[in-house]
Amino acid sequence: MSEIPKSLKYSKDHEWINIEGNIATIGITQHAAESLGDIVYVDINSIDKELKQFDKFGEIESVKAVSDLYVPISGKVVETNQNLESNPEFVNDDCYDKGWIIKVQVNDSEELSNLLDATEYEKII
Amino acid sequence: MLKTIFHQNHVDNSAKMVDFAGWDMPINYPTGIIKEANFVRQDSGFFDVSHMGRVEIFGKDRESFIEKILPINLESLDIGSAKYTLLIDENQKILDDLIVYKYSDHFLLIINASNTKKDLDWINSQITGDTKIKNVTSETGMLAIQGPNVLEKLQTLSSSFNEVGRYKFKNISIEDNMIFVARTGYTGEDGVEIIFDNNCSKIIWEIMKKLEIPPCGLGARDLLRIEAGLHLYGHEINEYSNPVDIGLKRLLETKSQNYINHEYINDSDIENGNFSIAAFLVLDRGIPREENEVFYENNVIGKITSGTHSPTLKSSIAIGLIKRDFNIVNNKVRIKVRDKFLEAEIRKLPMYRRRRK
Repeated sequence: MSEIPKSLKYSKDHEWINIEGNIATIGITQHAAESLGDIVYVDINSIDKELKQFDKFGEIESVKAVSDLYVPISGKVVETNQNLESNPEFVNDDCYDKGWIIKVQVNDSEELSNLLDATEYEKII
Repeated sequence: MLKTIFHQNHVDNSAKMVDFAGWDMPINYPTGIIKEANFVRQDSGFFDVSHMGRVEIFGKDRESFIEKILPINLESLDIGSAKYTLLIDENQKILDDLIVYKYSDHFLLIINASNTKKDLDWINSQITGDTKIKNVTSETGMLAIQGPNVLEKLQTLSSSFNEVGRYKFKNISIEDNMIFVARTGYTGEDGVEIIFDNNCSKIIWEIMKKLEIPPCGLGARDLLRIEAGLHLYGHEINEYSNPVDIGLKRLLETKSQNYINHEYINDSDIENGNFSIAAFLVLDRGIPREENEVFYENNVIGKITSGTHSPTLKSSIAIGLIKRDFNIVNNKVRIKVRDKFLEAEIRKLPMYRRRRK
């Protein structure tokens, strides 16, 4: 059974989000990382861009598959995890901490109500 | 879905299972494809390949039957030896690529799981004289044990492992069980492939554990064979492949008039292939996938047949079929992957070659 921390919110597309102040940290869930298998590239083409909730913000590629990444909340992409360029395996090994993918400056935290809590996310996987 | 004799072992080891040609097979264990591939390159690993078809050919007329259906020069195949070859039907469709093994009283064919039914149907339709075909796939298990330290590890079980030369095979007794051992493989590493009765499977799995040879999934096997530039039926080879284009003309070695495609393989038309197999080292980030188009300047020159990420070369790599005139080492090409172009360079095939001990 994959890990689903209670403190985070989740999208149906298997991203997790953690908000501190007005900055949201975003990654993919352990379930998603396990389904993709060994991740070899994380490509983010949205740095400094204003995105709407559920817009595509990049792509994640494993040995076997490639998948689009969708931002679970509207805002400006202010940072990407540079470590993933040389260590994409952080997403497999530690998706909720070292394997975070982007940080977004949040405009409207009300949008969190469109996301799932841990119990609801567990039901869809 | 079909299950190999090791199915429960895969499940117990938390393998990710996928449908492969109707078989429920492990694509990887929790270790992951890349680490599993590294085990094989650096030390050892084993693959359950019990899904591959194993067909025995008996009978007084077996030699002339083999000569009829395979393009091999039988005289150069000694008892205890194996050969890589092609199964081509009377309409010159390539049905499969396979390995044929010559015993004193029969032949063994090891064929692709995805083609087992098709091959058997055709082989049975060609039977002449006293020839008997026996499909032993479900009665036996098969492992590919691969890596630079495999032979050393196996020699702790029996010194006979030392006596099996490349593309040779023999029966070796392990803990009172007779096991077929062939010095063949599909990873570019040294190693063996073994076949045994289903009732030995428990002992064999325990031996792997004892020798610290880890199980690896079909994902790692595919990665390793792409690094080693080995063809996979359904990708580099298909029914309509020209053997010259895919670099396998050398397999059409028989001079026998008895061979079903004797006229075809001696026809000069077969020389006129326009394509050839190319290896690509990808310079950008991203993995080319099957069917992606390959461009030279602004022209499409061919397609990708297999792609992966190579931990050994620390880059993405691919194999493709491109117009022969452009297949020049160091040529820069672009590969269209989804909506972007990846820069790549043509390399010598295979891109990985092991250092001989």
